[in-house]
Amino acid sequence: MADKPSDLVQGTLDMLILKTLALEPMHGYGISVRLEQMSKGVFRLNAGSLFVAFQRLQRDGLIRSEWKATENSRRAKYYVLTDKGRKRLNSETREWGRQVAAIARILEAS
Amino acid sequence: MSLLRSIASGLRSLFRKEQVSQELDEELNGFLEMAAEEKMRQGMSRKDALRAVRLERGSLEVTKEAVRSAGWESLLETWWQDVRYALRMFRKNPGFTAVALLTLTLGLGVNCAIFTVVNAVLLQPLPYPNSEHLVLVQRQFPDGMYPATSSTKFLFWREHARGFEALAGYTFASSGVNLTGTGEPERLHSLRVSADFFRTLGVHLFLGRAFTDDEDRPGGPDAVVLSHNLWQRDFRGDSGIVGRTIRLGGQLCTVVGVAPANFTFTPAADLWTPLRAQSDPHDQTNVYRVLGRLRPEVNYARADQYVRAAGEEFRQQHPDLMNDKEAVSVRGYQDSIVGDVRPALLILCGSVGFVLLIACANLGSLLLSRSTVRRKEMAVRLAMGANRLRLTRQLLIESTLLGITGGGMGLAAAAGALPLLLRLTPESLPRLGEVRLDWHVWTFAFVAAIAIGILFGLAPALQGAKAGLRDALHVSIRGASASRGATRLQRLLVVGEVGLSVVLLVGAGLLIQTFWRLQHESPGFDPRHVLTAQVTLDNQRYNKTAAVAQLEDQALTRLESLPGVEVAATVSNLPFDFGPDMNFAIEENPSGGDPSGSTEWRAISPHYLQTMQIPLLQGRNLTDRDNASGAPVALINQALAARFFPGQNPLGQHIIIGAGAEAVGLADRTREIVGIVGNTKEFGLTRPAPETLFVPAAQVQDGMTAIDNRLIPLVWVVRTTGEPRSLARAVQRELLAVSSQEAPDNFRTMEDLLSASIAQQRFNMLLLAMFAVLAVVLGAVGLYGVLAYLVAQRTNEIGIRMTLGASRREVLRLVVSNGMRMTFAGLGLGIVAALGLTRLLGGLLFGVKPTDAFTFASVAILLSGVALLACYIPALRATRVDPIVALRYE
Repeated sequence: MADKPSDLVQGTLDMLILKTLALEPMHGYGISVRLEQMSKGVFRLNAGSLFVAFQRLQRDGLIRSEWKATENSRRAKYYVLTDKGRKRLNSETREWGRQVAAIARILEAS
Repeated sequence: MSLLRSIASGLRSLFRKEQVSQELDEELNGFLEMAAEEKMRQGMSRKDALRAVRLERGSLEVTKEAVRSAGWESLLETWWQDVRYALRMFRKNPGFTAVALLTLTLGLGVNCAIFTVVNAVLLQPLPYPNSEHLVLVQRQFPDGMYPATSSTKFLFWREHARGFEALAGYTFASSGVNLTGTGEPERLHSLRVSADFFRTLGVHLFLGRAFTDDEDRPGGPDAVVLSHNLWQRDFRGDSGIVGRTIRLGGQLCTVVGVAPANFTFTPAADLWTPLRAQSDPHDQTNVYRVLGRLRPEVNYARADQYVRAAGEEFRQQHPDLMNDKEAVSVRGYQDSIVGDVRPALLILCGSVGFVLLIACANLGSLLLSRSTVRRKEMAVRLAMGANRLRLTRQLLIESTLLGITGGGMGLAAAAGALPLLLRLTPESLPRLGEVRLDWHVWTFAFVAAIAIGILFGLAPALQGAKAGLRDALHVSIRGASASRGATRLQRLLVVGEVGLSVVLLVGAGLLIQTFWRLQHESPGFDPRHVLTAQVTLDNQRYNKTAAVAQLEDQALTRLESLPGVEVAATVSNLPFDFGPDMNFAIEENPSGGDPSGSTEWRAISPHYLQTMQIPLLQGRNLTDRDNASGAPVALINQALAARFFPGQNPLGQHIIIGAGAEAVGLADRTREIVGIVGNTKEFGLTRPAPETLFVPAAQVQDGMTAIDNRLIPLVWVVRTTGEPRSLARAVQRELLAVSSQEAPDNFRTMEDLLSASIAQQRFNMLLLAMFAVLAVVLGAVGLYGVLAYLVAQRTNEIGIRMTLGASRREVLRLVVSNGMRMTFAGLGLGIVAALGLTRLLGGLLFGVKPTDAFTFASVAILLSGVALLACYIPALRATRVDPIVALRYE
């Protein structure tokens, strides 16, 4: 299950990307690496889902992008969390916490 | 806000496609490079690293496609692709495209044309501001509404009825006026209207003003309002016309205004003069109509209560002037104008809708055939990874494109056919001048086209995209028959088409019979070789019968001495025209006679019967001695004799016409009945001949002559030996020689009048017949198409049958019986439907029952014949199948 990114719980990818960008602006590859590292290799993301998510988040105004030079002086598109994105991240994190706790309680009860 | 951003971003992707795509490329390449570098740092070669990244992260091309297709703008792009693909398909299948478009063009074309007429006549509001507030105030009797009323009642209603902004009166009938002083006298249509007539309609005059109350008062200053058309034609649009005087019927009248160019009113008029209604308890002639504009907050029901109350008040004050069964009521003005033609127009609408349904069934059937043919294409596209939704959409786009193109062509066809249609339309159809192809028609065509495209494309589209992959490829390789569902649907469509054709054919058949019978119905006179002309006797001196009689004597003597004229006469009004009706009492039988006043009354000159060839059945004809100095006499028609003198000999009995109306000079002297004449269909061929009285014009009371002159023009009838129209100039010259100030006008032959009297029936018949022919042709094409397609599908099977020894006749029978089964099913359905629907035609029929067995049988035979032909051609093709070729067929 873990090595199939498409099995990511629906809607969580957006939240994870927002979380990653909460620390600092990052380019696409950086985000994917960070997600892998933080999940300890559980999430390995397909480029397709990742970039579709970027476009969607951008159109929703949750992130914006700018071209900048990387530390290796390569030109890359950096994604930046907007204020709206930050608010959305907070509310989704809270909601996620509530849901996980609830699911855990149900699973433990049985 | 995010919607805006999404739109902006989407538009950017659409219009700056290159740049957006480049940016995405760059970003993804960077992604790839960075991932690869990571791998290379772990010791992989660049080539291996790139490969590993592709494996782990997916192909860049797929990613790009995924990003692109995630935005809404990609939807537009694929739509555009689908449209282009559809156009390519049409180009590659010109036969299919041509048949589909032709079907749609015909179906939508006739529908647009009829809708144009129906829209203008029935649906559009009348061309007056807030015309929904306009009502006619009418007298109501248990047997119906009577729009005409007397001056006394009009004035009383105007004073007492609540709820109206304005209440105007106008005369419905007018004999017209003679405009003189500008060269030749010219006879014009005039209408007397009350001072607030234009205000009630909400019309502002183009020049000058409407009538003042002073001008509308009896004995007030003479004033006239000109129509825009007359002002342009006779006064060259002279803007100084207001304040000038013109001579009408010998009287000088001041022009006070000019109506706007687009102003129309029924009855049409060239000029308007003041009504000058006068309350007179003795004058009960019902020649006024009352038009009201309701206050905005008053609805029809409330207005009805108000006028009813006013009517009751009138009854209390003038109990002798209002019948016990009489009440007052309102009717929407628009309804009063178009109500009579509504049933016929709605039936035409329904029939033309049937034609459209047939056309649609054809289209649906064609699309189904194609979808079966294209199953392989669809299967291949599915196999290549197209999704079903996209395929369904593709097919829907194709059918919608067909619909829209057909709609456009139909609209063009309607625009072309409209002048023809208007030429066929009877002149009596109200609001004809307002018929035009406006945006309502465009909307109608567009919506109908799209609806058809989607509705009839849907079944084949679902069918096509449903195609099971394996089955579809399998089946098409075997070249066997079409999917069962599609074939069944196609058969149903053909059955429906045949059924609808039956209904239309039966309707057309009934109307054709109606028309045929009307043409062979005798009007009671001989219309051949009769020329008629009208003249308005609006000069004061003709208010005396003697003056009219003198004019008639002189003119008729001159006319009868014209070469080519057999005999000539005058009549107060011709059959089919509005004429006066009167009451009468019988001297010998005080309880008999007609107190209701519904007996038709005609004043004639002595040679009228000969001129019209109305047979004299008993007694004697009028002679020159039946003049002012002769004993008063009358002729009655057979219907009157039968109704009021049953079992008696009316000859020699005496009648008093207009008994009780002595005060207004309408009561007649006692007349002896001297002759009984044949019935004439005064109200038109479809209605029974009314009871009619004929009196010598020279013996009419002065009061009656004066009223007649005001309401109806005098008619000249001339029986000629040759073509009547060729004598028109000569007749006009002779009449002008006798009275130079009264312009003879409206030269028409009696045959023309007879023909005009059945114009509505001719119109109904021609249109329905046309629709029926269209329906049969479309239905036959549909039947042929399906059979031809089935034969093509079954080539293989037929080949096998023939190899196994089936004869050509058996193959022929196989195909023909296949088609005829559908035909008979359709016939049965159609006959049942027609039995139910032709009842709606009842009011339009004459001399034939809606369930006429002859019509039904003829339709069944005709349609079976056509169907047989449509089946025979594909069947013949089936028999020519070469078994060898057939078996190898794919």
